Amino acid sequence: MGSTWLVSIVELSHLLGLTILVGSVVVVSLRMFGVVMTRMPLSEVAGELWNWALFGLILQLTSGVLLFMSEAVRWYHSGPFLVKMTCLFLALLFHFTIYRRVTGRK
Amino acid sequence: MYPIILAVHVLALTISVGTLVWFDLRLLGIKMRSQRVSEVYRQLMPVMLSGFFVMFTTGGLLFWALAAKCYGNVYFRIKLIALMLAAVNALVYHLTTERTIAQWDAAPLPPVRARLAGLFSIVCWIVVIGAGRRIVLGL
Repeated sequence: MGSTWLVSIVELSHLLGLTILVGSVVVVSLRMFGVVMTRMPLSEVAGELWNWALFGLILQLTSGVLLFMSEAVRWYHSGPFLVKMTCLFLALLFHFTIYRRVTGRK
Repeated sequence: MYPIILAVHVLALTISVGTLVWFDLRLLGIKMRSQRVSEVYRQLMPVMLSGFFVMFTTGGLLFWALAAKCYGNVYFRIKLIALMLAAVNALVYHLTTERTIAQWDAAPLPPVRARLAGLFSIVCWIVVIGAGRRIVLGL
């Protein structure tokens, strides 16, 4: 497979990307509910968090691809993996359409 | 049961550390510079605390299930040390740096001490997450 250090870094990246990406989504979603950062307009909150959310997403996609490459055959037949990828696709689709319009991002 | 608790532990990372990171970014003067530091803290604190409550509860349960094996695990020890460092960092910030917050609350770029606290926090949590992931492999 390769050095265990590389595996560690890829897995750590995947966890960090998760924290950054979903953490950002949580904060913006809570702002939509009017629970946090209420003194900032929604579009500003979404705008501030976007770069880091994007960084998190890129980190996720990169490390995810690398992880998949090491287990591709096994995961291809995995039910949960299929569910995960479907939800990921839907989440990205939702983000780049409805979500963007709601937060007023260009 | 164990896989569910583990899954919740990982997912709650996003609510706990994921939210804390945003306060650290404000301390670093990188994000939400238009908002007062104390305001960002006040708004994110409840979410952060809820997240950490879940983390420590699930973490405690995970440890309880595997205590003997965790104790000797080097990654578990690294994780605990990093957790303690993160806690000490927060304590030092709240007991000293935060005392002068009235002077720099609205400043886009907080003083060096605040920025260091933010940076150290992020580094500690990266170590916690990295070591945490490796615990399972050494059990």
